[in-house]
Parts: sequence; C-alpha cells; structure tokens
Amino acid sequence: MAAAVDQSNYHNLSFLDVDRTAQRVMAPAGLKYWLWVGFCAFLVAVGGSFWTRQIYEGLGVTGYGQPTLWAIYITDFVFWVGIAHSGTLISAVLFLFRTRWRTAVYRCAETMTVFAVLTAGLFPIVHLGRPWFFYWLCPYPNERYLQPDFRSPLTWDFFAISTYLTTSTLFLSMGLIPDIANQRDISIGWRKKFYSVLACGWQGTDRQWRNFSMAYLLLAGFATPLVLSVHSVVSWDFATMQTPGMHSTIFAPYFVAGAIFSGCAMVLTLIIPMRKMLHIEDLVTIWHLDSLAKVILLTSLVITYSYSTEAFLVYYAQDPIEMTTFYQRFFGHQGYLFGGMVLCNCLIPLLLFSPSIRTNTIWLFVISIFVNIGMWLERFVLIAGSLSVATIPSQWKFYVPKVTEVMITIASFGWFLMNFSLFTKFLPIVSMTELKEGVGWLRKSARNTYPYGKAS
Amino acid sequence: MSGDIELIGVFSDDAQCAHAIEKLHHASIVEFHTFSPFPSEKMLEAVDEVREWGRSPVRKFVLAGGITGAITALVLTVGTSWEWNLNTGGRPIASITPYIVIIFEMMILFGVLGAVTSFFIKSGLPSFESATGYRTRFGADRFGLVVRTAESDSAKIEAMMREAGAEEVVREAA
Amino acid sequence: MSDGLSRRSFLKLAATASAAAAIPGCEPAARKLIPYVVPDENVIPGVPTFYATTCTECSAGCGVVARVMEGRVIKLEGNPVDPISQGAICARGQAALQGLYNPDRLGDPKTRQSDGTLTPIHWDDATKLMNGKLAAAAQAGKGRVAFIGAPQGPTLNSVAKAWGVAYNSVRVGFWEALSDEPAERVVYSTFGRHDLPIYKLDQAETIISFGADFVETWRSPVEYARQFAQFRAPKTRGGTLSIGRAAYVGPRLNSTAAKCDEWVASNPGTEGAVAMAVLNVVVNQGWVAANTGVNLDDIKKLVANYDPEKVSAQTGVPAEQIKRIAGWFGQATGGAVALAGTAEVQAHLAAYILNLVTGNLGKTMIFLDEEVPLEATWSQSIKGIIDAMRDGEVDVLIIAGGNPAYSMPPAYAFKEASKRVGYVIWMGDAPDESADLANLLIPTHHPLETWRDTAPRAGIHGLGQPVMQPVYRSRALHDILIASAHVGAGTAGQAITYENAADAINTAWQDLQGKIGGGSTPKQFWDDARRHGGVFQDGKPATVKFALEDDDIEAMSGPPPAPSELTLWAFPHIFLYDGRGANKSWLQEIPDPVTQIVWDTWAEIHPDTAAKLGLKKDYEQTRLFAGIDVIRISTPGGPIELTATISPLVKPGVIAVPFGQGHTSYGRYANGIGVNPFYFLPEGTRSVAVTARKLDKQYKLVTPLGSSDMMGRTIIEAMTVSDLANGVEPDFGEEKVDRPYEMYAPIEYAGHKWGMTIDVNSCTGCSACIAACYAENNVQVVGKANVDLGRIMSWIRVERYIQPADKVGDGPLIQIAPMLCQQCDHAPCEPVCPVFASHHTNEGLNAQIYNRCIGTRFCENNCPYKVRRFNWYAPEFVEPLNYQLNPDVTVRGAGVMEKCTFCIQRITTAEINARTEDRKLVDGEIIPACAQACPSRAITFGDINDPNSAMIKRRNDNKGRVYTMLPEFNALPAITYLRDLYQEKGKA
Repeated sequence: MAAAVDQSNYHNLSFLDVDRTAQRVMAPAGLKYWLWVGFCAFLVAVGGSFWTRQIYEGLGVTGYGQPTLWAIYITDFVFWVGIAHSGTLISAVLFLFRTRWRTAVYRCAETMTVFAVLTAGLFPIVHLGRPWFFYWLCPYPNERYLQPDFRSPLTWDFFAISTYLTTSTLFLSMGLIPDIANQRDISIGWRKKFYSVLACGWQGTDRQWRNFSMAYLLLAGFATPLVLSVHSVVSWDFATMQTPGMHSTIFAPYFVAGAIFSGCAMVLTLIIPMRKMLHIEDLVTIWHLDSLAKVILLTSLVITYSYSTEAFLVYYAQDPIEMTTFYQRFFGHQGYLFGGMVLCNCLIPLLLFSPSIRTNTIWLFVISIFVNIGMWLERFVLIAGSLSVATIPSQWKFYVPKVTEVMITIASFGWFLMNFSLFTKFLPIVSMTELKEGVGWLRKSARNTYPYGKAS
Repeated sequence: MSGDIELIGVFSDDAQCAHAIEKLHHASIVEFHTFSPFPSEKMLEAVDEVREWGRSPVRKFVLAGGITGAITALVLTVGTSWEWNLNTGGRPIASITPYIVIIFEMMILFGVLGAVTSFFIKSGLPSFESATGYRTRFGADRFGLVVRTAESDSAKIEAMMREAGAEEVVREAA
Repeated sequence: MSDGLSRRSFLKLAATASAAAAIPGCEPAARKLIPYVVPDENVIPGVPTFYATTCTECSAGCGVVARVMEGRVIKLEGNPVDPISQGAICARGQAALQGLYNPDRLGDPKTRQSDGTLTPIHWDDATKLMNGKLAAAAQAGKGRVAFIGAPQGPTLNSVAKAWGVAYNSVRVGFWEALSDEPAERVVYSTFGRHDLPIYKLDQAETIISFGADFVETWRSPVEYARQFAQFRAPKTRGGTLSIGRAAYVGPRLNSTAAKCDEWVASNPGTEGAVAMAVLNVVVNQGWVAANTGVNLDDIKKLVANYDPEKVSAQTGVPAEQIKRIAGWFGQATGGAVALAGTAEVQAHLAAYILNLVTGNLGKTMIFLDEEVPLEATWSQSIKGIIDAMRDGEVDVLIIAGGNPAYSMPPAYAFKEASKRVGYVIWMGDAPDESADLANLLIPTHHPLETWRDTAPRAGIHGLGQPVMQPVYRSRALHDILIASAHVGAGTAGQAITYENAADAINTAWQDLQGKIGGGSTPKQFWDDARRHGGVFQDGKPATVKFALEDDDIEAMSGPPPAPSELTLWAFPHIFLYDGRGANKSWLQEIPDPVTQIVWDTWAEIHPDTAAKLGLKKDYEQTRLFAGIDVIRISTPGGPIELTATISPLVKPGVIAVPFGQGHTSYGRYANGIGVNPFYFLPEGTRSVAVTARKLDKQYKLVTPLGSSDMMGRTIIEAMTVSDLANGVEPDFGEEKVDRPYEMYAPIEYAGHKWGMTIDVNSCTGCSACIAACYAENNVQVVGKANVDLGRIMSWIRVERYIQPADKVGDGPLIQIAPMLCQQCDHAPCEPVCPVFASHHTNEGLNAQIYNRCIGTRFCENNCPYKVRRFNWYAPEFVEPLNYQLNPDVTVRGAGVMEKCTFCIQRITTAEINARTEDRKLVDGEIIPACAQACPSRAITFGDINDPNSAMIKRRNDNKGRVYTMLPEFNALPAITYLRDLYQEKGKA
C-alpha cells in the first residue's frame, strides 16, 4: 500500500537526500514559475487600483450601506486570520506535543501563517473610512494627547494581530536560520551573500543549538496561548456587539475551532499541488496529508457542534429578537448562503471518515477547497447576515457586493500566493534540520510506530 | 599557547560523536566544541555532562520580558485612561477587564522578543568570524568534534575519536 | 412653547428690532453674495440676524423668521408671534430656501430663437421688448393682454390687476391648481360670503374629515396639526379622561387618517355621499341643535337619497360604520366639526350643514366679520382667459408662476391655447414646463427676496420683507409690472400710482394703519409690522345666515354614481404638493410618511387589487423595495406606466397616485421622475375610472424602509385611553425587569444633562423635523440610488410600522414616531470606538468628534437604534445651494460617521450667551431645530437635572404613558417617549 512505500522511503532517506530534495526546490526558477508569480502580481495590481479608487472617491464605490456597515472586508480579515492560525497550531502546538508528522509540513504551514497575517492585516485598513489615519489605533505620544480607547475590541485586535505577526515572523525566521546556514555553505554568487547575511554566522555549535532549542521551545510555548487569544479577540469584535446573531459567549472557542479548520484546509490546498510541482513527495508524504485530514475532520465536527449549540441556545432562550435574526439567517433572503456554509463545513468534510479518501490527494484537494469556501461563507453570514437584520426592523437592508470589494478580495489571494511562491523559491519550504532530526529518529526506531503497520 | 593544534573528528552519526565526547570527558579533556546539522539530544546531553551548564539562561530573559510586557501594558492602558479621562458608555475610566486583553498580548510580545534577543546574544550571533574547524558538511550530514590540544596529546585523542567511530580525523595548526 | 414667548424667540425679536431698520440693500446691481468689504452695521460675522417675514410655499400664510448670517439666509423658522404658525414650520416651508438657492434658477432674461433655443439678453432689451409687445397689444384693442400667475397676496394681486388695466385688459387670473374653489363656491351660494370659515379643532370633541388631509396639505397644515394635537391630547371631558374622537373619510390612509380613530375607506369621489349619509343619520336621529335657523325639511329633502344602507354600495362604506361616526358626531356633547377637502362640492355642502345643524357654527367653525379677498381666481374666469387665447383674442400672455402648463386639467387645453397667443412672456424664479411655451423668459425674485403681504384670514395681516440680496440677476415681478405699467399708461388705460412693489406694500400698510393702527404713528406701525412680520389681531366672529336654494337641493340631492371597477385617485403629495416642491432635493429625499417612498411617483394598490392584476405581494417581514412590478393604467387621457406599491393602506379597487412628479423641465432635481396625474384627470375631480394590467417590466420604487413589521419590539408603543385613565400598564409581552441594572457606579452629571421627551400621540409624521435637521445641520442629500443602498443621511427619521394583518383591530393600524440619536448614558456606540471619536460629554451628550473619526463604523453596528449615519461619499452642495450651509456646523467629509447632536451648536451658543450675560440658562432658551419646527409640538427638549423644566414636567404629567425604546439593551436613553393613545375599539 502506498503509505507503506512512503514510510520506507523515509527509512532509506539519508541526510543528503533530504538536503538535495529541499535544495532542488530552490533551484533557479523556470518561465512557468515567473508567469505564475506575474499573474499573482497582476491580481495585486488590479486590486490595488480598485483600492486607490475607493480611497479617492470614498467607500461609496462599494455596495456598503445601512445597516451592513461591516461586510466583505471584515469577512476577508477574519478569513485570513483564521487561515493563519493552523500554521501556528502545526508548528507550535504539535511541536510541544512532539508530534513527528509535523516536521515535513510545519515550515510550509508557518510560512502560510506569516503571509496570511500580512494579508489579513491589510483588510481592517482597506475597510476604514479614512484609511490614512489607521495609525491612530496605535498608542504613540502625539500633540493631541490622545491615545486609543483600550476598551474597544478593535484596539484589542490591533494589539493581538501585531503581536501575532511579530511572533510568527520571529518563530519562522528562527527556525530558518540553520537551514539558511546550510544553504549558505552550498551556494555561490549573490545567493551566498544573501544567505550569509540571513544566517547571521550560524554554524550549529553545541552552544548555539543549546540556546536555539530552548528559545524555540519557549516561542512555541508562547505561540500556543497566543494563537488561542488572537482568534478569541477577533471573535470578540462581534461577540461584544449587541447585534442579535453576534452577541454570544460561545464565539471564542467556536472561532478558534473554525480557524484551525479553515487553516488546515488551506495547508492542504497549498501543499498538495506544491509537493507535485516541487517534487517533494518524498518529504511530504501521504501520511502527512492523512494526518492533516484527520485534524480537519475533527475540527469540522467541532464547528458543526458549535452551529447547533448556537442555534439551540437561541431557541432555548426564546428571545424574540434573536429568534427573528436566526430565522432570517436560515430561511431569509440570504438563507442560501447559510445552506452553502453548512454543506461545505459540516457535510462534505464527513467524507474524510473514509481512509481511502483521506489518502487520495485529488479528493483531499477538492474537499479542502470546499472547506475554504464554506469558512468564508460562515464569516459572511455571521457578519453581513446578522447586521442586515438589525434590532430596528425599519432599517433592515441586505448587502450585495459590488465589483470593488470582489476585486480587492481576489487580489488578496493574489497577494498571498505571490508572497508564498517567492518564499518557496528563495527559502527552504521544508525544514531540513527537523527532517534530519526526524530521519534520525526513524532510523533508530527499529520497530516504528506508524499508523500503517510495519515497515517492509 | 603556541604549538597547539586542533583535531577535527568527523562523525556520520551523532551517537558516535556523543560517545567520543564522553571518552574525552573521562580523559578530562574539556577544551572542545562540536558541530551538528540538527540539535542532537545525545550530543547536547554529552556536552552538558562536561560543561555542567544546566538549563539555558534564555528562560530568565523570557520571564523578565513577560513581566516587563505585562507591567508596561498595565501602565499604558490605565495611565492613558487617567490622563485623558473620557467617559465612554458609562464605563469606569480605568476599566481593567478589557485591559486584560492588552496586558496579555503585550506580555507575550515582550516575552517573545526576550526569547529571540537572548538567543542571539547567548549564542554569540550574529558572528562574523567562523568558529575553528568548521566544515560545510557539518551543516549538512556530518557531526564534528573539534578538540584544541597540545601536539603531544594529539595522538591519544585521535585514537579515542576513531575508537568512537569517527570517519576521519583532521589535524590543523591552531 | 405655544404659550408665551420663550427667551429664544424673544432674542429673535430683539434682533429683528434692530435689523428691521436697514437690511442689506436689494438693488439688482449686487450681482453675487460676497463678504462685506465695508461691513454693514447690522452684520456681525458669526452672529445671526433674524428677519420676520412670511412663507409663500402654500396659501396658509404662516409667519416665518429668517435666520440670516453674513447676508445669507441659512434657515427659516416659525414666527413665534404669528397666530398661525406660532413658531412652528412645515417641511415645505423650510425647503423654501432650496427654492431661493435653487441652482436651476434663471440667471438672465432670455429670448427663444426660431429654433427653440434660448439666448440671454440684457435686462434693458428684455424690458424694452416686453413693453413694446405689450404696448402694441394694448393699442390693438381691449383685453389683448393676459396675465396668469400664482396668487401673491392681496396687494400684489391688486397690483397685477392694475397693471392689466394699464394695458387695457381685465384678463388677469391667479391660478392655484388645488384651490379651495369648491368650498368657496358652496360658502358663496349658501352663506353668501366670499371667504372661508376658520376651524377650531382643539375646541371639538369629534372630528370627521371628508377627504381633508388637515395635518398634511389641507389649507393650513401647521395650524391644524397643532390644533389636532391639542384635540388628541388626553383631557378630562365630562368627568372622564378621554381624547378627541376623529374619523377620516377617504380612499387612502394618509397620515391624517393614521392619527384618526377610524379610517372610513370610501370609494374615490364618494366622500360627499358619505357626508350626506352622515347628515342623513344626524337629521333623522334628531341630533340637531335648537334654533340653528336651518329648515330641517330642506335638509331632509336634500339627503333623502342618502340613507346609509342605500349608499353603502356606491361608497363602499358599511352602513353601520356610517351610523357609528354619525353617532359620534351627532351625540358629541363637547363640540364637533366636519371638514371637507374634496374637489367635489357635495362634501363641502354636507360638511357645512353638519356643523350648522349640530350648532357648531361659531364654536368650531367660525366666519369672521371681515371678508379677506380670495387668493385664487375661480376656474370659470381662468377658462375665460384661456378661451380668449384660443380664439386669438390675446396677443401677449404673461405667465407668472403657478405653472399652468403642468397643473391645468387637459380639458383647459392650455398649451394649445398658448400657441395661438402672439407673444408669451414667462416670469418666475425657476423655469418650469410653462416656461417652455414662452418667447421671453424673465427672471424674477424669489418671494424671500421681495416685499409682499398676506391676509390668510381676518385680523391677520402678514408682512413679507426681503431677507437678503438677490441670489441671481433677477428683479421683483411686481417692480417689472409697475415699471411696464408706467410705460403702458402712455399707450392706454390708466397709470399705477406706485413707484414699485415696496411702495405698493407701504401704501397698503398706511391704509391699514388708518384702519387698525390705533394710537401708533405710521412709522411705528410700519416698523412694528416689519419687526413682527405683520400685524396680528383676533378677527371678530361674524353672524351669518344660511340659505339653501331649491335648485341647489336639486343639484345636490341626486343619488351618488355607481362605483367603477378600478379607479385612479390622485392626491396631493405631502411635500411636493401640486408639483411646486419637486425641484427641492430635501422634499424629494424625505420619505413620504406613509409609504416611505422617495424620489418617485408610485401607484398605491391594495393587496386584493394587486392579486387581481397578478402582482405579487411584497410587504412581508423583509421587503427589499417599495414596489417593483410596473402596471399600465389606461385612462381616458392616455396610458400611464407606474410601479405599484402594494399596501393595505388603500381602498381595494383604487389606484392612489400622488401629484408632484412627472416634470420635464423643472430643474435637475425634478426632471424625468415619475408621472404627472394632472395630465390625465378630468376637470373638477381627482379620480377617474381606469383599467390596468401588469406589464412584464420592472422598475424599482426606492425606500429607506426595511420592514413594516415592528415584530413586537419596544419601538413604538400605544395604549388605550381607558388604560391610561385607570392607570393600567399595558403588557407588550416583554419580560419586566427593574431597570436600570448597573454593573458600574452611575456617572454623575453635575451641571446640565440634556434630554428630550417625545409625545408619540402628538406626532403626525409630517417630517418637519427632518427638513429642519437637514437645514440646521448641513445634512447632505444622497439621491435615489444611494437611498436604495441604505445611505440616506437624515439624522432624524420617521419610524413607521404597519399592524400585521393578524393583529389588526388591536391598536392603531399604522404607528409613527420620530427616531433620532437617543443620547444614551450607556451608549453602546461609545466603548467600541478605538479612537474616542464617540464619547460622552459631561452634559450627558453622546458626542461624535468628526476630526477624530477614522471610519471603523463599529459604533453604528453596535447602535440598537441605528441612528448613526456614515459619509460614503464627500458631500456635494451644488452652487448656490452651499450658500444655505449653516456656518455653525461642520460639513462632514467622506469616511466619517455623523449623527444627531441635539443641535449642540445651539446649546453652546446659549451657554456662551448665558455666561457672558452672567446668568443661568433659562429653560426653553435652547431648542433643537426639530423641536422648534414641530407643528404639533410633539418634541420637548430640556435639562433632566432641572425638575422644573418643561421637558421633565411633560414626563411627570404623563407618567402613565412614559416609555423608552428598546429598554432590554439598558442603554439608558436620554430621550423618553410618551405612548400613542387610541380609543378602546381600535381603528380597523
């Protein structure tokens, strides 16, 4: 069976194999690659021009209006933050649990985290009425003696997201140092200079490794509560609102679960084509994908549970206003969105119960796409949906996006993929260091503990 | 001191390298350092035996950082609220509950910064001169043990290394 | 407020006293409004000057006070000393400013070339051209010069007439499209008087209105809204606490009907029949007062054909309903009044007789001793002029307002007739459809730029003075007439003695001084008049005798016509009225109180009728538009295509269409919107039998309204009078918790804490508050497309909800209340703002700092009342509309949140005045624009910390009715509402 082959590959993998496979990825790029990057850049340019227009003319160019004053942009923000979280989960939480299968995928996931946060960070600014004043959210001495109101969930957001960005960036770059040092040693020309600078003279002496492991451990230790706090904070943007349909205490756990759910799906979406195109099947094996699929399945069940709890609580409380909001969410003008969300998030992932689907890259890829769509819808239904049927019935209106928001949303994918692709070309997208560690472990474990039985 | 040389033992397996370190230790030779492509627990334990380092000092920095962060946040939030006391929604001017979020985030931020900076400082990074006896393979697939010793003892030490399973032992003038 | 002068209004008068002496000069030489290089002694930058003048938007003749800053009038407010407006003003009155500053006004005289294009010419050439044509016509013979214009007040009308004489013609007519002619004719034929009675609704206990929408457009809406509010206010009548009992008879439930206890849904044009039936019951039941001097047998003969059972088929009104309201009317012990507002005379006759036989003449309906001249010319003579035109007997026609080409019934064939006229001269401020017929267009002053007077009733002599320099290179209409009359005098007829219009007014007022001046010298009299905007005295009631000619009985007693399957019924739009308001963007954008539709003409259809036409009903919980399906209505006058709005508020079998839209050349705000019903109506009626079918075509009617269903939320509450009397707290099914429950120590407000009390029972939904807010706070108009996207900017809006079908019968059928920022103590909008743009002031105001706002829009998301407004685009005020902007209020830029501030600029001004004068603030010194404008005085503003403030008193006096909106959010609003009241039986 395929999986057995995979792990036997691992069994025979030498340290140099690891290096070679990883370094082959970074070989100078071909035309196809640059076309792809160019395409992403084009999307960014288009989105940028639409944003420029929006800044110049005002938010009126979007489909926004009373009472849905938050819609697509905040949806995108939450979506991208959610994407980011699984990266930290895989790299930090699984690291603390010493989960072996993370080694091959965590660098990819972590890179995804950083760029996803970078993308997410843009949206609150795009969303602002006067984006050129976004820096008023950060406390700095100013002639107005005014500081942000730390009571506002948006200020919490600002702190949470910036902390999160810093942490995950540092976490990523620290893990990169040994690999970069390795690159520095084998490469020539400008790349050598480039890597030498990045490696900061790392040589892997005992002293360095000793501090490295400790610092890395502690970072992981920090990242874990951080990842939980960040998405809780994001969820409180809504939970602290008195708007029916949002004013709920289960938001924090429910958002975190959703984040991991969508994040792992995004990892699959990225890594399945990547391992084909970059020929790293040896490093990122079916076994890894399968493990990711299991996480997705679990979190899918969790959010299904959250949906039902949310609805049940409302039914149980019998608050007329909440009841109306939920009736509208399920059967109202935009009820089909809710339907789509349930289909993508609750039903389709159930397929993952079957091992044969879990080990089939095509299936996994398709399902992961559905999950991404579903999670985007979830946020949209939650935000635009709840706001459009507010407490004053006379003010009800339903939000329909216009080209500006749509293009900027698409552009955000372009921006994300462009950064990600560039990263894969110039920096190791799989962690050679940790793989070697893993290989060493595999070698030593004569009776290995794989889910796929004994090694042949 | 003049006339010293450096013996560079090259191992293909970290266990062997660790073994060599123990041997050196028994022979009470402590003037050495190692290279490895990944943090090998065996080697680090062996080295720790010799140097009696205990746990890494990074921890203290992190703790300090965390505490500083928390306090800074508390001062920032409460302080600014008091300085410009504006009533929003009838909440108390310094409402601690929401500030806890800020405090928590800044604690983590400072802790993380503490961890990274202390890692750089304590590992002597960024460093611009190479440690003696470094070979590029030590970054890839080999483990290195570099002993600085007097010419006289070199033969004995080389023997120990080979015994422990060194592929080769290079000798270099220091 | 209505009783006595508040300090604020006193200040105004003081200001006008100094100002009246000399206002910025009015000579047309001044081309543009520019800051003064050498400041006028009366113009202190930043300090407003108040000029008392009169409103000319309708025939009510309210007195207004113009607020002028740096030589520009920025707001119209009611004149507190004027007995009609008593300090209030309606939405249309406020919008007069947009007529004054209308960007589409005519800048220069223009002549029409052969190819139809207009070319500007110099004023002198224009007047020469005009006088030449006139002289030629006058020499050609008698009556070859004609004048059709809008009524301009007694003096100016006489000037126009005298001008006609000077040009050897008596063909001078004053055209009012929706005039009171039917009423006037009935009064003339029965009471033999050439005027109309006045009504005292507040003196009545029962009101029956036969198609008179007296809180919207009927005669004097401001005055009658105020009286009606007093009529509806709970007072002890005959030992029990009760409110006035009112019924409205008409095909559509308008805001008048909404405030009445009973909406008697009658077929269009049969209000008269219903009135006769009511009269029938009253006389046959013998509910008649003694010695009213009426021959009851005549009356019985008159109403013989109108037995309730018989007429219910034609009128569509159940007999018992007719009997019920007749019972109310006949058995009313405390006075009753019947009003009629139909185009048919029958209703008016019946109404007068009803008031007469029940002995209410002289109580609730009063004829005053002095007959003030009628404003509008009766259609007979207007038609005479038009016939003469058609027969080529007229060489020069002057059209001066009234827009006859737009508002005359097709039967008059005015356009065709005017083609037969050699030379047509149009005079006015903003060119309209009638200007298209003209060979020469002459720009005249807006009424606010000219001298004029009004005589709405005996004893009231309103004086209108110019309040600022002309905005455009225009001249006063009557200056032009007088000047040309002087020329014309050389040719024929006799001259006018006046120098100019001002002189004419002056002379008229000297005569007046002679009559009623008493001890005052002419100068004092004149100055006082200018100071107060006129001379106001109580007219003495006259003794009148009623006589009903037999042929009148013949004419009126015939059985009512059978109703038609489907009827088109046109009604005056509450804001656009007969179309004159259509070029004012405020009036276009303020939603009609009942349908909530903006910027359009709609066809209001009952769900049953809609089902017959195959339209799908759309007023469920969530409606996305006011209407979408287009229907084709085939009228005798041609087909109309209109979008149907389906609502239960109209009689089945009726298509109700408002007047006002359908302009083709009335400026950017009016053109190309909707249709003009005048083009399709027969003469002398507002309804016509039609057929209709659904087209497979869709056109969206735009409304800011989401759902019409209140869904049992605590937004507008209503209770029965008996509950109020018995002190029963009505149960609205919401859980009862003791409020406020506090998590934190409550914030203390040492000084003032501003608050408001709004009486839902008094609010008629007239939207004067909205217009006032637009004017006072520089609120931008966003236009139809943006309203559709939910971007209407008004800080105050009229919440309007329809009783769901299953609940009809308990409580009012539709509920209306103003909604504005509640200035909550626990404002949900405040703590969510990351930059303190929204925070609480130490006077309890929920402040919004525009400069600090970065536009996260979190506040509005968290606002349970949804009263904040976001600037999606930078506001645009087309020159010279920007002259109207209030310099005390910032114009908000794009990307900023804004909201009601309780007119903080007025609060601050008053506080500064108090401080400089080293005194305490007087209660009533600060009045927000909305409260100031409100005709029914539903809004009271004041200091919550001052137990003696009128606002707190109002709360305490109405303890049984006090409630706050959406209490479950515990936002602790500073605004307290007083519940709507209704009679036990409900309305349906």
